[in-house]
Amino acid sequence: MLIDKAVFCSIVQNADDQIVATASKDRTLRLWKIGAEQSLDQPKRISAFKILRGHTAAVQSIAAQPSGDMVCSGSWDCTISLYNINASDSEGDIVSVKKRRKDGEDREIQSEGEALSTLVGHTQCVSSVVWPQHETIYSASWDHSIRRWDVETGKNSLNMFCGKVINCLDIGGESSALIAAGGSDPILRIWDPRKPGTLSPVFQFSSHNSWISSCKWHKKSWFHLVTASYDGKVMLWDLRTAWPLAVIDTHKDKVLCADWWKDDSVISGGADSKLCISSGIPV
Amino acid sequence: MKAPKRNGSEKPKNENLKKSLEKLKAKNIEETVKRIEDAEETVAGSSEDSPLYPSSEENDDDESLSEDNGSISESGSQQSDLSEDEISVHSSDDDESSGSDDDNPSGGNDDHGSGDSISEDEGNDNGHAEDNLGESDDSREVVEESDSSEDEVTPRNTIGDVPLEWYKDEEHIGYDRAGKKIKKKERQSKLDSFLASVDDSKNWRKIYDEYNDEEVELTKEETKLIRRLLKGKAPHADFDPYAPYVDWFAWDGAKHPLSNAPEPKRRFIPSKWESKTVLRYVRAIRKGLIKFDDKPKEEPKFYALWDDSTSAERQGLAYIPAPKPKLPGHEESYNPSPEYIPTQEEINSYQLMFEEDQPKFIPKQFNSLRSVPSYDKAVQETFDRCLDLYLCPRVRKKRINIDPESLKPKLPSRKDLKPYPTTCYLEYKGHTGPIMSISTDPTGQWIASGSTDGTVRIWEVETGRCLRVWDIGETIAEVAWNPLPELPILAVAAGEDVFILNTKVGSGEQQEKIDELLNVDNQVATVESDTNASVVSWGHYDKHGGIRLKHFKTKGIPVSIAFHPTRSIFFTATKKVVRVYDLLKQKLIKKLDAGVREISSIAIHPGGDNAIVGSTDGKLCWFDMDLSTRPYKVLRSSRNPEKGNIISCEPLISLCSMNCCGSSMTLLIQMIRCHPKDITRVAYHRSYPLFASCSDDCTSYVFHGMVYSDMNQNPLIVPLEILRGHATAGGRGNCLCSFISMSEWKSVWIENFSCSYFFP
Repeated sequence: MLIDKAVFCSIVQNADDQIVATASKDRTLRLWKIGAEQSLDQPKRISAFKILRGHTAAVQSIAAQPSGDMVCSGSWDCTISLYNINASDSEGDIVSVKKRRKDGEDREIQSEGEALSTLVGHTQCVSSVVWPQHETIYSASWDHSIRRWDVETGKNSLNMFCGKVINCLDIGGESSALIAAGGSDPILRIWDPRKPGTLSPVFQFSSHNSWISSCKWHKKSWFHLVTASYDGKVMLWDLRTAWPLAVIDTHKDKVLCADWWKDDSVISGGADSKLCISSGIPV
Repeated sequence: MKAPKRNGSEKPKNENLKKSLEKLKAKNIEETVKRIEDAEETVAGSSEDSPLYPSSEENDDDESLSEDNGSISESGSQQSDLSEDEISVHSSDDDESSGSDDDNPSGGNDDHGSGDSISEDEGNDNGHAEDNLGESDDSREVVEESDSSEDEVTPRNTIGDVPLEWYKDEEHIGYDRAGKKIKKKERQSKLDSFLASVDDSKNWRKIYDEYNDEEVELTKEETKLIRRLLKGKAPHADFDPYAPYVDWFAWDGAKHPLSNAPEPKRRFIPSKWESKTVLRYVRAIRKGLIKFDDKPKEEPKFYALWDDSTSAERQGLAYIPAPKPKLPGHEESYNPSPEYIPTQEEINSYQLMFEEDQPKFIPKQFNSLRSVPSYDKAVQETFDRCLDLYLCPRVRKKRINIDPESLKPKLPSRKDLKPYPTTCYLEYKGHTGPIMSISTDPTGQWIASGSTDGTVRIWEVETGRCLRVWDIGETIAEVAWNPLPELPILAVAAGEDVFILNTKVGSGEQQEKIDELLNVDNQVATVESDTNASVVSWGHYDKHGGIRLKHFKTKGIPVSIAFHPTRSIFFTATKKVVRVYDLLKQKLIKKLDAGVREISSIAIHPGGDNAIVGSTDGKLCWFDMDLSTRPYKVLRSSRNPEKGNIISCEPLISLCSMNCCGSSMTLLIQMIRCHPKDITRVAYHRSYPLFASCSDDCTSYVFHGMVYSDMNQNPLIVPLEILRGHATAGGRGNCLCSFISMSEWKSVWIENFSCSYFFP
């Protein structure tokens, strides 16, 4: 029995299939294959083709490399692990246990994988990881810090102390360098790590009433952000104004996640078991 | 012509000789004089042709020389080559010889130079001689004083100052320094010596030193000295006998000096008598016999009889002044202005007033002072005053004048003590009955809650999602997570039973381990045999999996449960005893007997060896597991045993773990009064110095509590925040609190079926 809590998707175009990686409270990551050409009319039962192990506590966050070869995951054991997912060639080497599950007619082969490397440095649960560039990973933790890691060396190249528990993190904005983060207070903060000598945020947006559970930069625009909060609101922000551009109030309960969809729509999921897509947003 | 030559050759020896001569002088002076005279005679007699002594104007010179030395030089200057000395010697000798011609030979034979005898002898002759000898006496002393000088030629003989007659008949005259005898020289016959003296022109200078038995030849200076002495002058020519007088006496202040004598020495040395007196005084002061009383004795002064100020110096009973009456005004005059006098209506209206409001005095008008009647209440008031004086307490209460604000301890600013929970952000909704207990997962991910609706729920802390619901069916008294993160199991006290449930939040291997652990066969279920009856039975809990500990007796109703922090040991506190179970073997290890009326709570020290059990009558029993099953120490925390229900021992344990010491326990128990209603629960934070209390008044107080390792310093407790946000249901708001260990969050649960989450 799995307790899949955090399902962060990293869709990877891999020949025909798309691979989805999920992080789970049972300390594993799982990779799922979705046939792109298959019809989406009726739900299809699929099972994970690969289980990635390595964490000693629940996995809280996951992010994929832009090229789609690797994923990284942040966990309650205060570490960030890197996994290779596109390893059909190395699969034979890594696979330690092969499980055959006889479940009626379906016969699936599950393989297991180990972490390539582990980034150690946080002192509490790693609540969010972002992999915006090929060689850089950003992570946020409940130990009040945001760190930047170099993938090649595994070194911690930036350590920002924020004074608050950080729940969500995203990288974007001007030349994809600004850090937006929301924590255990209703304020969205945006830092510019290129600014030397200061750790004070360059922007602060405080229209929410409760925790910010998710924040995402617009993929194209430098100035636009979407945030989801536990107060049941999804807000759209423009860096040039202090007030939210739009407030989406469709959820009845906490909004747990939100993201941009097709450049002009916002998709959000809430604790009231609703998935909302709001479109027609002028950006 | 010879004299200068000789003079030059003898110059280096001059000084030495002079001194030895001076020594001899006193002894041989007469002989010398005689011989000089002899020599003169011979010279005068024999060698008339000698250039030294011109015969002419000899007599003239004699006279002039005897008077003044200066005249000698004058006269001498006329002589061609003569040195002054020879002339003076010559002339003086002449002078002397005239007087002392007869006596000298006799004196020279008898005496060997004792000054006194000479003076006796010559004292008769003339004053000149006397002076002369006195001078010679002085010079002798000088010689003796200069004995120590190095350039003095020590005498050859060492016999000392003994009469030389003693050696007259000996062959030696004495002994030299080495102790050898000094032989006497062969004496020349008188004739030979006379002839030799006649031949030798310098013979008159030669003097025989009897003491050393040698002949000494006088130098020019020596002869000069001798001649000056003979003349009664100072031996040295540069001595000025008529030096101007210097008057050292200070004449300034003294017109009539009593004495010209110099100040005596005693005036310059400290007095012995004075120092003795001073010493006596010092001793007396030290002993305290003498006291310095600078202040003059205060005479009893007049004191203000009617002074209002209370003087503390008064003797006897404390003076308490009478109340001061108001000064009389115009209306109390015997003839007040008519406007003061009330009309009859007003007087009548006074009767209708309350007695307290009535005026004490009603003004009246009198024609004269004579007609004023005596004060009617005089006797009454005097009596009242006497009563007052008699009955009033004679003790003055002293009040300390201290600003009460200054007595408050200085508390640090709340901002400095951050972080602490302030705001409610999350609510966990789902229970349909009052929540009785909450417990947090050691990792901080989960919260378990037990409610009166018979369900136990597990919540995800971060999102507030209800993960799991167990329907036990009975009112839940307490839930407790296992503090070991490897074994995420939950203990639930419900009704008469204790359940141990598998939360299934762990990983696969952990699940297998827990399943194995919790797999108890019903048949194998060990029946614990008590002394009289079996109380607890272990069994498998069919409904939800896990273990069920069934209690049969009502007195065995579990009130509190706790896990051992490190080992698989499990504590169940019933009302009377604490039972300690081993989860692996599933049997009773120990039974701790608290000996209190009713156990209300239990807490285990993080080390696992010590447990504290609280009771409803305000006692704390401290158990040491290794020692015995009886309490190691019983502490009384409340003065009133009826009201001192100890609801939690957890904070005590936490503070104890800061300084694990028995004595610190007493420090920790500080009375904090904040809640208007009963406190239902206390919680502490594991890493921050925070603790919180919840009360029936639906509020929760957060405190900063710091216990210092310094025992002298009082623990610092600062109230930080009052958390509200719960509505009372049915007049009684049951409120629970607990800190989540991983962060500074805090959750508060309440009866209206929601739990709230407070965040900094």
